Amino acid sequence: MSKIEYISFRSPELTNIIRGLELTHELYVATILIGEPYIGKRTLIRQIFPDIPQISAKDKKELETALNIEESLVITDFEELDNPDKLDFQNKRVIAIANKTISSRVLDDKFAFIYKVPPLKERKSELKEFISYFLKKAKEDLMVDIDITIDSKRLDLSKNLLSLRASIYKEVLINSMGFKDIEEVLKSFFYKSLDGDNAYRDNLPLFERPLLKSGLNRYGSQLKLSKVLGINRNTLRKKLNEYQLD
Amino acid sequence: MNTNSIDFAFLIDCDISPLIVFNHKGQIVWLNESAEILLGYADHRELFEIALNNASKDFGHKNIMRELHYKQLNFYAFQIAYKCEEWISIRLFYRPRSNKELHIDSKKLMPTNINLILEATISMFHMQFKNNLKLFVDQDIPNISMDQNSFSKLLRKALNSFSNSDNIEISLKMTIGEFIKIDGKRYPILRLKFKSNERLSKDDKDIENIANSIQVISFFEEKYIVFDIPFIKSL
Repeated sequence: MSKIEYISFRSPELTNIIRGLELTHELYVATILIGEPYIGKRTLIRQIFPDIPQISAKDKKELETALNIEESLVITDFEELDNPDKLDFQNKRVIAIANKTISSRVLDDKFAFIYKVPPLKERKSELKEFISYFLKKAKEDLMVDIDITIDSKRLDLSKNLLSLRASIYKEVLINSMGFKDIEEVLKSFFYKSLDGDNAYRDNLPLFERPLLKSGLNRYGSQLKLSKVLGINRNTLRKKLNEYQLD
Repeated sequence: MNTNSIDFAFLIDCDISPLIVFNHKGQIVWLNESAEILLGYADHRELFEIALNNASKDFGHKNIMRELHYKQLNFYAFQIAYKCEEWISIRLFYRPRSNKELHIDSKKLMPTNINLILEATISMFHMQFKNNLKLFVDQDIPNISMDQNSFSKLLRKALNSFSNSDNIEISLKMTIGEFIKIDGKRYPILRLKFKSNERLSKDDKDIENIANSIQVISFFEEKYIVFDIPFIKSL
């Protein structure tokens, strides 16, 4: 999965972490940031400590070498270490980043400053900023020039910034596609998936279900919808029943 | 030599044993320098009670071999004396310190703004706990040499032991006339005190071990922790 290069916004939930990091910026202390993946830990550290080399704990040998020669070091993926007790942080400025919980004994023993970074869903004010940032970026990248309102309930925060970004790009695509684009999408889909001996009936819901569901949402009554669709009311009722939309 | 020229009051004043003279109402009429330090830890009314309860039946003096402890001050005996009904004195004798000689590894020391570490620790504490916290520090304390990582760990653990407390008071100040001896050299003491209505003591041993590792002397009481930090400007 690609790395995310995101900007970070200051939220009340992060204020104390940023303040603590800025205060200890010049000190030779060991600090750790713990939190779910893709919540902006690395970006935060890069902003506050732009000149400190970063190394992943996945590469144990390289980490040991770096600890011997560098006086300041950012260690990412700290949870990957089998034996963190062996590491010597004495008189070093170490900022570790962990995506998973670390044993409290190791934390207590190795680190002076321990920060738990909350997941994105708990950073309400920052979330709004991220949505508007990704929306702008998605519209630029996809060359979309229409007003799009994002329904935050439809956004996926299960993988924090990673899934948020993906779901916003998806929303922009959905909102911007016209008849031709949808036809192209369906063509591509059918080309890859058409199979079996009942494909016509099997694939009909792909067209009929969204058509009926959106129609009902938009026009409210079956009478009005049957007129718009130009089909008999009984046929419409039968179809709605078939798709359990009545 | 004529003994008239000897200033006995001066000698008693600078004596290491605290001496306090009370009037019959329990008010202090005189005390030496060492007693001034003692009264930073002990209540003078309690000392007056001890004096009354242990005074000899007749005018004179009486030595009592009994341990008295006032926070980090430990005494092995005290003397009560009076020659009239107007005054009574108590003099306390320090228990010789059996502390191991303190050594320091100069390679671990870095010039440090101690207020900065304190502020960062409080900021981290407030992420988890919303307790009221009052800070009384001298912002002009110059940089001191210390093991920054271990000292920061010490503060984190000490403050966490007050996570259940309603109001926490933190004070940091230089003491007067008190020293810590490390490698034969005397260093003034910077006293850091965490105080509240209650605290958790389960990590006291760990805290003490970290403190010992960086030549900080720690004192634990039910409601507070005191750290005596050697004020090392340079070695």
